[in-house]
Amino acid sequence: MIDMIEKEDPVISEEEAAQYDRQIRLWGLDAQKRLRGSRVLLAGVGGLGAEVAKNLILAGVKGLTLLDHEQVSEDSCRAQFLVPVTAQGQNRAQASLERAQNLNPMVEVHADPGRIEDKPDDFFLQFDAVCLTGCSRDLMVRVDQLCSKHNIKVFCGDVHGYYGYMFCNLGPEHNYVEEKPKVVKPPADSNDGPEAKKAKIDPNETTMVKKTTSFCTLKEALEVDWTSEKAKAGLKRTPVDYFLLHVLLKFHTDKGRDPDPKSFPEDSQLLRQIRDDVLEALALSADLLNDDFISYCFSEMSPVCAVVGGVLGQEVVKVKNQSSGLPIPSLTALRRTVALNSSPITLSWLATLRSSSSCTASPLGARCCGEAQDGCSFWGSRSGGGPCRLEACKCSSLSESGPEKEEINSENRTN
Amino acid sequence: MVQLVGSLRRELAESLSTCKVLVVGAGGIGCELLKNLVLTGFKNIEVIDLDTIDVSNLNRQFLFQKKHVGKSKAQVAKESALQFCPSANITAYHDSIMNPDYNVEFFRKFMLVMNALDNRAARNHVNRMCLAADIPLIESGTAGYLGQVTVIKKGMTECYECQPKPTQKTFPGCTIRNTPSEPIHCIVWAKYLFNQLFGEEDADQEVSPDTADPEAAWNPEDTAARATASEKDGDIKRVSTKEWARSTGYDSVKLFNKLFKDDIMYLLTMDKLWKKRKAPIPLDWQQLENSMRPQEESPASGLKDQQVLGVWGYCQLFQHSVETLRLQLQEKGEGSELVWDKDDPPAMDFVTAAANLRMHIFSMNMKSRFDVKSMAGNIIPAIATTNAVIAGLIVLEGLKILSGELESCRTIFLNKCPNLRKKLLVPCILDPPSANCYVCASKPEVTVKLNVQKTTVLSLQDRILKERFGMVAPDVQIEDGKGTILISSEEGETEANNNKFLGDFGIRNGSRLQADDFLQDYTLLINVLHTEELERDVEFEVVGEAPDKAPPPQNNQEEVNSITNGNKDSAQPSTSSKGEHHWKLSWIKTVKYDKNTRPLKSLGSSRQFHVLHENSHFYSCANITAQRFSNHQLSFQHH
Repeated sequence: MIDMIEKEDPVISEEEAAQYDRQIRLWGLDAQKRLRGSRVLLAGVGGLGAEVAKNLILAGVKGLTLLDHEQVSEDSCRAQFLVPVTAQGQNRAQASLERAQNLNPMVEVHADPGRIEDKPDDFFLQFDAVCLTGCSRDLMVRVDQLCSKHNIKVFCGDVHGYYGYMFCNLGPEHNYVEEKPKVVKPPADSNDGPEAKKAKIDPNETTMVKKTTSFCTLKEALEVDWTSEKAKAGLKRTPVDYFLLHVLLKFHTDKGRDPDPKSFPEDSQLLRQIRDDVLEALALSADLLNDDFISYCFSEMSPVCAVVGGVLGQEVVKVKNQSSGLPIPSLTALRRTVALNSSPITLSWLATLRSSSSCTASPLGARCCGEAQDGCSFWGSRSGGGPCRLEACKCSSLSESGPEKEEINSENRTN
Repeated sequence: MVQLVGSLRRELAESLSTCKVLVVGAGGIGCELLKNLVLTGFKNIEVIDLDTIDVSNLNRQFLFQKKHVGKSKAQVAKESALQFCPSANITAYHDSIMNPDYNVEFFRKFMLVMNALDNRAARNHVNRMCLAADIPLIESGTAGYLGQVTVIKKGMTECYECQPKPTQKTFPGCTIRNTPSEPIHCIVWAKYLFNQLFGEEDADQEVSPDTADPEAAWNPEDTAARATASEKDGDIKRVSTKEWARSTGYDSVKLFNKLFKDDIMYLLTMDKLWKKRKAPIPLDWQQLENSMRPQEESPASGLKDQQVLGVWGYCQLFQHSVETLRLQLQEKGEGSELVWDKDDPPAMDFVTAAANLRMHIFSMNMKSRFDVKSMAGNIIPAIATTNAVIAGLIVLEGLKILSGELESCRTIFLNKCPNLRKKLLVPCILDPPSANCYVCASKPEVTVKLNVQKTTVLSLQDRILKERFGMVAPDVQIEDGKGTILISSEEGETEANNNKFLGDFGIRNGSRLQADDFLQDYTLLINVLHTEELERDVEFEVVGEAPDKAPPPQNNQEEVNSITNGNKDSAQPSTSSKGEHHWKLSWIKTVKYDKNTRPLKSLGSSRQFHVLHENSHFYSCANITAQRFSNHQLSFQHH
């Protein structure tokens, strides 16, 4: 994709240079040129979609197409700042166009009120990157597979109350450059993280290292076989948010919508039921995901949209900019760990999946769980109630200081 | 039964709609924050910012458009945010938060204060105001891909000033004047030169050869003798660079030959300097004009700022900018001064030209105007996405506070890439207050090492109390049993003391001074430790704290040695005019909880090195390259 863009060789005008000055100083003129040559599709213009749109338009992509067939309603636009308050009943994409365009007149912003489900395959091929927010599982899997084949980068994300996640598929062979401190004594030939710590690092020098990473498809990421031995072994270290994502995707599939605060009692009941079904279908215990999540996963919350949209937007930008380092893991969940009432509100980025070029041959489940060991070592705290045991158990397997200390502290407080 | 309003529980949603919050700063983080607050359901918001909108803000401060350039940030941000929620009640102040109108009473109106600032002086001040009013404060900062959010609550957490912050880096005078070895030294010299010629003259910003350079003489007596001689020698020691320049009518060729030929020739006579260094090569205008002029091609296509010109190109730029600045000065009238501003094209051109000519003389590769501007203007790269993430996290921390869950608040770091544990966002527990913090301890006390015979009252006020200890309007009395008033914040009461030395008031080793800031409701007891053995260029030292040694790139002794105290603008708000952003380094968090950064080379310092700024970088020590260190930590004269 990058090669293709370079052929176009967009020129940055003096006007653009002035407006983009502070970011050109971060990622360089060439990266800005690449951004300037890229066309992005954004499907789903809710709260998260608005954040992503804002971030990409400000960054200065060539074109952004807002695709959404839904109408503006009070709840679907709670965190949607691109839609004017007077636009109730209008199409969301079209109602967002004016404010989106005002963010940066140098970007071609289009609104498409069509249904994404009705779009033919060809439609997606005109873009360099596709972002899907608030979409159903089947749709995301279809678009992901299609784009993967055509080397179009895919980003998916959603926000449910205090929870959010993002997924990105940059293809089976994604090249990037990483800035690393110069290692005096290179570590033994190994792909695992901990070795890097042992090497001596010279703080004054960095080197640019070319790397290749392989990304799995969304289908693979969601269809881990939890009955396999390897997967079972990694289960303890897999964040429960991964299963929560399954529950919320299934809710969307079954009801054709997300949980709605207006029907809180019914939807809570349904979420509980789906949780039981999902875990049973995966041959997992229902204890894995307790009821706490239910009252925190309704509607879209603005600050959570800002965080997920910020990370998602930055990942899209990063892909245009080869030299900005390691892509973030392909499935990332934003999580609030809560215990009812006296709940601490905690956000953690959880990396549940990250494939690396060295293990493309191994089954996804193994990769997922193997990698998840670090990913799950997230910091979490509970001041009462909640599945503390699971947290404590995860953290006790780690050897360094840090999160454990926090864990111990919070345990002490509660006891 | 749980009832939800959107994502929030009814009780929380109701408290949001009634509570009043303060947002300090309407820049990169501030714009995002205002949007998040109104969309989350906050209804009573006050926002303050003294800055106006600049074109370079538009890549991230999304509440502003091109048509708003030059207008008040706070006012436009308010108007734009109201479009998201017309029923919100937003008050905008186009003002400095350090204005005495915003007193402790003002702060007490709020349930929560959120900082979205870009400079340490204002952060220090708001920290003190929130401590005095006992209001929870959420502090934040971003730099490029990196960001941080933390919560400050009196008596529960560290305050913003609990951890000593490294002072801004300055370079020794002789490096700037005699032996520059990096482009940054030449850029600093060029900025000094601008002030010497067109701006406010400052004895600490000399640009002529430093004859008292200790390195130029083999023994100290020689140095002293030479220094005395030079002060007497009218031919070498100019009375005023500005006067001399004016006497030539700002003749750019005369200025050129003086600065880039005669002064360099003089430096060459200090032959000991060049024993181990490559000697500088003087430039001569006439010679260049004859030889270089025909050879140099016209500049290539592409962005002007990105090009590196040839020597003759910079000669012409020098000539042209001197001419323009001369006219600017002339228009402003007799006795007027210009203030250097990176966004003023001739001022920036002048520094680009003068710095590059000096780099050429000292055999360095010349730099584009774009690069010189980064260093001269201390520009921190800034992007929308980082600010969006940080502003989202601020609100999430705010919701915890409003839910009465302060104990679950965290300081959160946003990394560029996932750390070894694959975490992009790293939360860390908040530390309890530091018992000997000179701000939030019950009886704040410090010991300052200085020379009572050489430190003036004015210097105590400006350099020590205002700059170093962050006071806005200090009152000082001597604890001599009589309560002698040394400094009064009332205008005109103690001005007569300004140029007297501390010793003149009987202050000696062991004396105690009580400094009060009425606005900040802050009293600091200062123990004076008299010494005559301070290093060159160092006015005072704070005992017990070694901020200078705090972030040493330990293998680079020269860098460490070149950090000096008493920098002029460490206490200046950066957004004082024309949107110039300054950034400040600060120690925020110990490394012990934080797994995201690479371990320090030697864990000699347990601290992690962070910068808080609207858009500022924070580095782990391990990340600091010598080059970066010198580029970014350096502080410049602001205006």
